[in-house]
This record gives sequence, structure tokens and C-alpha cells, in this order.
Amino acid sequence: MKPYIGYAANIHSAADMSYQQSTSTAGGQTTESTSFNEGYSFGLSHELTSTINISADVRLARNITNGQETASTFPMFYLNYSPPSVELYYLSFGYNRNETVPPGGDPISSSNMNASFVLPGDKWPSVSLSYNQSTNNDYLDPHKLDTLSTNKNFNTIYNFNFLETATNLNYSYSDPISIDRVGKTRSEAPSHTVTAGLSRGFWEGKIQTGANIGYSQSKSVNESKSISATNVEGKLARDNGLADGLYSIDTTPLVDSLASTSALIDNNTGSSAGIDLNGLSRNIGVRFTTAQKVHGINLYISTSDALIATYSFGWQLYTSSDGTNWTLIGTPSTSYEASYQRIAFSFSETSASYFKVVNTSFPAAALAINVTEIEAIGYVPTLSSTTRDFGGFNISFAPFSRLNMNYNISYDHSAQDIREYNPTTEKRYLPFGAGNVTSTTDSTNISQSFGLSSAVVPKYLNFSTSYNTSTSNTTSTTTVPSAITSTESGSNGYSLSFSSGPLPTLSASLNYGYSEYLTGGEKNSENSSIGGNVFMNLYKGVDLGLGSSMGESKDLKAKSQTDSANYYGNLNLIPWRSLTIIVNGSISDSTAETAGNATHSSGKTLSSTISYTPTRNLYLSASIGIEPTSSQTYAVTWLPALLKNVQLSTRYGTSGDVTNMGGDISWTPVPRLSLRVGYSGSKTDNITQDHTESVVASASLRL
Amino acid sequence: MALKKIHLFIVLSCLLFISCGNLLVDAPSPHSPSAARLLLYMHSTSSASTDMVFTISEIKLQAEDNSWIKLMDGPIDIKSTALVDRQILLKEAAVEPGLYKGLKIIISKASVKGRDGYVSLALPQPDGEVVIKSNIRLQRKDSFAACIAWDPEKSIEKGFIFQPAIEIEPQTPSARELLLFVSNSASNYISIIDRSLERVVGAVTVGDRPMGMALNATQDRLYVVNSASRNISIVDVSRFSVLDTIQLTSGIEPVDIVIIPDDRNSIEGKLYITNRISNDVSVVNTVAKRILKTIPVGTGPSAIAADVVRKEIYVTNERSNDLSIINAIDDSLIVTIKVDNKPTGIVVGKDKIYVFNEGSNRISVISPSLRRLISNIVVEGPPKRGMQGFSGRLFVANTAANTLTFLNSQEVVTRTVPAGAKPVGLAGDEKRNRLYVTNYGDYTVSLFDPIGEKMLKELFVGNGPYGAVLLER
Repeated sequence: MKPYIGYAANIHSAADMSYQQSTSTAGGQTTESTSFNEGYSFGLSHELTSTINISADVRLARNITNGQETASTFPMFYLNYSPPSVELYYLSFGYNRNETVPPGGDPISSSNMNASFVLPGDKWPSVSLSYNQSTNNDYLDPHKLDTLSTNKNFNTIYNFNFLETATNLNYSYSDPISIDRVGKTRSEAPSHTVTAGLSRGFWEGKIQTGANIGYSQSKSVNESKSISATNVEGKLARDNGLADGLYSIDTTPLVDSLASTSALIDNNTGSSAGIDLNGLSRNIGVRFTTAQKVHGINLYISTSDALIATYSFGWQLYTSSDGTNWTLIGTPSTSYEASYQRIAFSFSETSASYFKVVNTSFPAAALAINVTEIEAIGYVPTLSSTTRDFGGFNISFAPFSRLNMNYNISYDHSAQDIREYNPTTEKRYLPFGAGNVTSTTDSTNISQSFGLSSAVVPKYLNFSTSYNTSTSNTTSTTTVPSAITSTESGSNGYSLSFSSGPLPTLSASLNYGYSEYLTGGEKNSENSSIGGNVFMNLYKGVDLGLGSSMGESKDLKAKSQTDSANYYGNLNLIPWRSLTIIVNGSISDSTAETAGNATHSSGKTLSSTISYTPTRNLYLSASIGIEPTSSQTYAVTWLPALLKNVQLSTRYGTSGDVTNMGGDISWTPVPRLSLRVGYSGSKTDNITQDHTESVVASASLRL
Repeated sequence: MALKKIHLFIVLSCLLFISCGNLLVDAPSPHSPSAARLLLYMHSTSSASTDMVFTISEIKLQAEDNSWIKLMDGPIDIKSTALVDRQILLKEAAVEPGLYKGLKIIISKASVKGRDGYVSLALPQPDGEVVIKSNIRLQRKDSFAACIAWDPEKSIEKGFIFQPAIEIEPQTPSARELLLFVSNSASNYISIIDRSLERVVGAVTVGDRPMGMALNATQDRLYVVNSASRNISIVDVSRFSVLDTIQLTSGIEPVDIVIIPDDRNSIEGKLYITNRISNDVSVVNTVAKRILKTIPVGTGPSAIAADVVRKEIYVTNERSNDLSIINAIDDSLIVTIKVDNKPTGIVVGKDKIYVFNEGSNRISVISPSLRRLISNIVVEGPPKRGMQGFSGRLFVANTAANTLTFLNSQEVVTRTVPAGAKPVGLAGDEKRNRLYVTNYGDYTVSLFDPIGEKMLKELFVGNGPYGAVLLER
């Protein structure tokens, strides 16, 4: 392809360095930290043709933090294709790589690759497709780090007008996958989302309406068999490697294999497996084909003894890799679950191929106690499915310019269920089967609001009011453990405000707000506030704002109440443009009462800020706090006329017994080089004279 | 092995560069892609101005070879009273790079208001031309803001000759703490406003369609995300220049950006960028200047905010009506919380997160510790973006309604006032009691008094001003 002449290549190279050293002394102890970063880059961007643009660069970075060095190189390549003139579609391909050597560690390679296709939509639907892949691995054999993440994404949007209705349709699909080849885990979360939006005006725009509706379906497959936020605990069955039940009466539990007892894992808790607990040294266990992570064991029993729940046994837990030589893990936590007629053992997650429990004592007076089944409990691969539908409608009506009303309703409903999942067969287990795992959550939120605003008498009186209400219902069901929980919550709120601006130099407003919160249909707290402010331009460059607010907050369940009042003022003085003086003050008072006991608190604040800019090259500011604590901060920034391309800034402040100071200089001696040095420090006037200091320096060179 | 791959890559890059060496010369063209942008502003230096009007018929630039290049044609009427405390944009023009040492303004008529109405003035000679020396150095593909400062009080000689007292103020940096940066999303540059002068004093070319911006912790680097060119420009705020460009190798339609500073080196940090079409967030290391990770979030991620103390990132997903929370330590998605219809803006307050839902008239208030919705605030709406400041007050830009809503620290609405066309970005200057609002629907930034709850003036910037960020120590 003949290169297009007329566009120049752009070569660029750069060097950046930055350094920070911090020292902190507190309570006589001093800690220091230093961080140095340097980065170099060399790159090229070039329009190969009028439609193909290529850019590539390589960056080298080195970081030394507290003596530990990390070095990295980052090559990058990016290709972008834009079809000529009509801008029909865009293609881009990007690749960057990172080779890092962490301090004292092995090199790690990370890469990111992305391919995108975009068909921008104007008169037709826009379409975009992208694929992103990231890898992270070391160079060891076998790897200690080896991960892969991919994400496929498809998106289409179509905006059009139909029968004077602005319509928006959108469909999105994404499929992120994350694989850890070392930890042997995999997770995937494909999702589809469809939304539609409509808006239309009526009656010459005096009525505006809008509606939207959406539906999404997502799944999340988590194939790791260990504790995680999305995993669910469940019985480890044949799909998880369960191979056999084991039993023996053995007084030497550390050695000897046990006899195969398939009746222990036949999913029948009603018939005896031929084992009783009316004696010592009952070794009862399970065998897996490969090591599994287990954190619980259930031993199902049958007995006619009515006192079974009162009996105590002594138990010990053992594991093995070969079924012959056993390791004592310890004494598991034990409880009797009458509803299941089982003894439940729980312990820290342990990985092994063989597990057994051995009783070290038994209730001699007990009637016959027969063991019927054994289960090993771990975290199972799960498939979480979520569907969500949502939507809303809003309408606003402004019959004339001085009146506007609006109403809005939105709803959001989602249903999630988490089931045990077999990654090999991709089989999803039905709910409510014996021993299967199910967790479902269904929630619905509905919110409505109404607002009205009116210029009752334009300039002199404006009025607005609003009301909003929302309810939320959530029901969760789990089978392991078996539970159904349902929560209902809601809130209501009102607000009212009046505002007036009768003169260009005078304006005021008065407002009231109320909100209440409910749980299970009952109000459990409420808040209300009333406030007002007035603003006056007393003279040219002199503005005064005053305001107050009073509030009441009640917690009905705790039977407590807090009343508060706050008065504030703001004085703005601008005698000339370059000087601004602001004075802010407030007085607050609150009383909190709980069970007849009242506590009172009050506070005052008073502060002033002065900004002075005699020229654009000199800026001075001062912030002075008088209440509640005395504080002062002064800052100066100066661009000296005699020192071209230099900017100096310094600041100094005190607050109580703490003093802060700092400054920095930035200088550009030549257009391609910029330098900066900065310092900041603080000192506390206490017994140990605590202090901190930090020095920062940076340099940037561009070629 | 890795080093060998790097060496091979560098060699291939060099070969590619060498093979393209013959393409390094610009081809001259009146609309060359290497052209610089000149923004010519004008303001009055007098506060109590004589009522004077003059008409500009043409403006020319004097190149280094003394030739005159036409910059703009008139007629444009300039009124002294309209320029009191106000700056106007005369022209935004593409100009060839180079040094321009003079500016010629050709005036076709002038008049001053007397007791009996406007009286014509004699024009400057020859031919109504006024020549001013300038030192405008335009760099290839860069932007430059030059301001014509006119003193009407000194512009009449001998009582009847109009001789405008004009000076050129070329783009030079102001004190850092005085600056406000505005991204002009329908163009490819950012405007820099001096808040004490209340004027544009600079412009910097970045990438195409600049939108979100973020300052680093030491406030000397501004990161600008360029949505159309899919890269990030790093701007030196002291020198008004681009230090570097980070190419985003993944993510479609990046729109907003936030930074979490590095605990050990406050100059550096991690950038988080929302990609609205590819439905993910890109994580970029400012040292490596590379994407470290891509985090899938909801559908249509737009606004992003950070809690530096909690080390959490909050992302609003416009089309899936939810909020994603990301752990900034390991860059993993923590949870997704349902909010209201079309969340487009977000503000992190003290123990509260405010989500502005443009599809309804409600602001969702979320507890970051409880990770759930705790209340709703109804505004006249529809609320697109917002800001919290000035002692806990909330300010809400209702973009579609062209209004700004003020709320007090109790989250109760006090007033809703008209704003500019499509207000969207907000920034507050607490030392000067000023609130800046970018008007995406036109070329202006509105200046509000946040206590008096009223608009004070408008400043002209570029096309489609979107984000606003200011430095304040």
C-alpha cells in the first residue's frame, strides 16, 4: 500500500523522575519512607494512510520504595482504522505488555490485548464489539502465578423518532471470564441487558412524558471450591469426588484402613448403615477420589431414645491421604440438630482425600443409636442466576411558564437464585432436592415522587413542594441452613420551600422538610427540619447572607430524640476585584434525649478567608479561624517577573498546637524541561514534639 | 527471553520509523492538520466605561516575514458597555505555526454617546488601521489564547479622533491556585480561566472530545480524558502544556476519570476511567502510563467518583440503573447497588454518596458503609450532575431543564434558578464564594454566587464546555 503523503509522523520521547521522602516522628518513634520513580518512553505515532493510524511506544519504569526496587518495561502497540470520509466504522487493535521485576522476586509478565469494532449510529443502530484479554504470569516452572481474564462485549444502541416519540433501544451483552490456572478456579458472569426509553411532548411541549423499561439476565458461575462471597456451602456428593463411606471399630485410629461401607453414602437417612454408637472407637468416615476442602461433617442417626439431644459424646477428627496413615486434626465443634436427627461437626476448612470422626466416649445409659448416613460439607461450585426487570414513567406538566408539576414512578424487581453446579457436565441441580443447595432472593423496590413549583408572584414569591415515597420488599430462602427471611422497608418524605427575590439586592427563602423511615410497615424513625435564609447586597461589593435551620430527629424504637438549631452568617466583601474577604460564622445547639436522660451540646464557628491578587502573577491568601479553635493559614504564590518560567508558592499555618508549613518551586528553564521541588512539614507542640516532613522533587523532559 | 522480545520490538519500531522517514515533512495546506489554533478574546480594562461603539471590519496577523495574513472578516460591533467586566471571543481560527509579531485591526466606524445620542468619531489613520505589536508564538497543533485589552477611557484623542488604547495579552500562566480548567467536549482543547480576573487566559490542545478531568494530589498535573481519540492528555498546569499522552488500548468511549493518589508518592497514583460503550472501567498507573486492568461494571458507565480515605471508586451505570463500587486496593468489583432511572452523576460527601438520576427527578442517597440506599431527594429536575461544598450544601445541574437547584445542608431545596444552555459540570471556589457551571449547550461557563443563589455572569470558552476542575489549596 502506498503511504499517503501529507501527514507527518510524530516521534516523541520523554523522561520523568519523581522522588518523595517522608519522615514521621510520633511518641518518640521515627519512621522514614522514600519513594523514587523514574520512567522513560520512546514512541511513534503515524498515519500510515489517511485511514490507518498506528502508534507504538516502549516505556521503562523503575521504582525504589524504602530500598526495594521494582523495574518494569511496557511495550505498547495500537492500530486504529477509520474508513475514509463517511466515518462508517472504526476498527482498533491494542496490545500492551508489562515485564516487572518486583523486589527480591521473580519476573512477572502482564499483557493486555484489545480488539474493537464500532459502527457509530446516526441514522441506523450503532454497534460495538470488543474483546479484551489480560494475562498475568511468572516464568517459573511450575507457575506460581498464572491467570487469564477475558471479556467479550457487544452493544447496540438505536435512537430514532417514531410518531413524534424520541425512542432509544439498547441491547448489551458481556461475558467476563476469570481463570486461575494455579489455584484451579474459574468464574464467568455472562449478562444480557435490554432497555427501551421513550419520551414525547404534547400540547406544544407543555406536557412532557418519558418512560423506560429494562430487563437483564445474568449468570455467575464460580468453580472454586473454597470460601468466597458468592459460594454456598453444601454436601460434597459424587460430582465432587465422593467415592465411598468408611467404617471400622478401631482402637488405634492413627493407623489401619477402614472397611468400605457404601450404605453410609446411599442418600438414605432412614435405614441403618449397620453402625451403632453404643460403644467406643467407632471410626466413621468418607473417601474422596481426590483431595477436597471440607469444613463440616453431618452424621445422621436413628434412635428411639427420647433423651438423645441431652447426651454428649467425645469426638476427634482425623484426615489421611492414603486411608491407612491418619493425622489427628483435633476435637471438632459438635452439636445435635434434632430437626435433621444428625450430629453436626464443624471445623476449619481442611483439604484431604479421607476424613473420619472417632468417638472417644459415649452415653452408657442410651438406648440403641444407629448411624444411617454421613455427609461431608464444603463450598461447592455454584451457578447464580439473576433476572432483573426495571422501569419507570415520568410526566411533567407546565401549562404556563409560572407553574410546573411533575410525577415520577420507578420500580426495580430482581430475583436471584444460587444453585449447586457441576462444571464437568454443566448440570444445574434442581432446587429442593435432597441435600441440594438452594438460595433464592427476591426483592422489589418501588419509588414515587411528586413535585410542584410555581412562580406565584414572579420575583416576589416562588413556591415549590415535593413528596416522595419508596418501599422495598426482600424475601430470602435458603435450604442450607433452612431459613426464610423477609424484610420490608420504606420511606416517605415531604418538602416545602418558598423563595423571593423582590429586589436585585435582596432575596430570601424559607423551607421545610420531613422524612420518615419504616420497617415492616411500622415507622421507626423520622426527621424534620425548618430553615430559612436571606441574602442582601448591602452595598457594591458588600454581600451578607444569614440563615438558620432547626431540626428534630426521632428514633422511635430506641425512644430517643435529638433537637438541633443552627444559625449561620456569611459576609462577602469585594472592595475591588483583586481582593475578596469572606467571613463565615455559625452557632449550633443540640439536645439529645434518650430514656428521659438529656444531654446538651453547643458550638460556635467563626472564620475568615482573604484572597488578594494584585496582579495575575501574585496571589496571597489567608484563612483565619477564631472559633472553635484558633487557626491561621497563610499562602503566597508568586511568578517573579525577573525569573521567567518560575513559580514559587509557600504556605504556613497553625491550628491549636499544630504548625504546618510548606512550599514548592516549579521551573521550566527551557520549554522541554520542567522541574519541581516541594516541601511540607508539620509539628505538634506536645511532650513528644511529634512532627512530619516530606520532600518531593520531580523532573520531566520532553523531546 | 522477555528482554529479547523487547529488543526485537524496539528494532521493529525503529525500522518502521526509518521507512517512514520521508513522510516527516509537512505538506503545506491552508487547512493543514498541523495548524495551530488561535483564540482571540477581547475585554475592557475600564470598569466605569464611556459608552463607545466601534466596528471592526477586518483583523490581520503579521507574520515573521512581515506579510499580513487575514485572520477574520467583520463587521463586528464592539460596545464598551458590553465589555465592562466581561470578555468576548472574537475569533477561533486555524493558523499556521510560527511567530506573529503584530496584529492589525481595521476599523470602519466609531462613535461615542453624547448628550444628544451617538456622535461619530474620526477613524485612526491610515484607513482606520490600528497596529499593535504582539509576540504570539504558535506551536504546531497547539492552542493559544490571546486577549485584546482595550481601555475605552483612553481611546479618544483631541476630543474627536478614535484611537483605541489596545494591548495584546498573550497566553502566559497565572498563579496556579487561581486557575479553572474547562474541557470543550465539541472540540479538542481545554480552556484555562483565571478566577481572579474572571477571564480566559490560556488554552491547551489535548485530544478529540475532551470530557472528564482529574487533578493529581500535588495539583500540578491535570489528566484529561479524550473520548473520541481514546487517550489521556497529561497537562502541566503551571506551564499550560501537554506533558504526555497515555493511549488507552482498550475501552470504547471513555468519558470520565478520577484519581486515587499513591500513598508513597503523592505525585503519582491510579487513574480510573469509565468506558460508556464497552461497559467497563480501565485502571491506569500514572508511572507506567498503561492500562493495568479492565473491570467490567454495569451497562453504560458514565460518571465516576472516588473516596480517597475508603479507597473506593463509585461508578454510575446509566442504562442498567445501578451503582458499581470498586475496591481501589485490589481493583475488584465489590458490589452493585440499584439506584433510580438513568444515573448520570455522582458526588461523594461525608458518609454519603449522592447519585443524580437524570431519568427521574430524584437524587439517590447511598450509605457507603451500609452499602444501600438510605433516602431520596426530589428536585425539580431532571438532575444530571451535582456538587457538594460551601459547608455541606448541594448544587444540582438539571441539564435538560437548563436550571440549577440549590439545596441547604439539610438536603432541602431552597431555590431553583435558570442557568445557561444544558448546564452540566460544576466546580466551587470556596475562597471566593463562587460556583462555576459549564453550559454544554453553548460556549459559556456561568458564574454563580452560591450563597445568594444567583447567576452573576457568563464567560466565553470553547464549544460544548463539559468538565470543570479548579485548583485550590
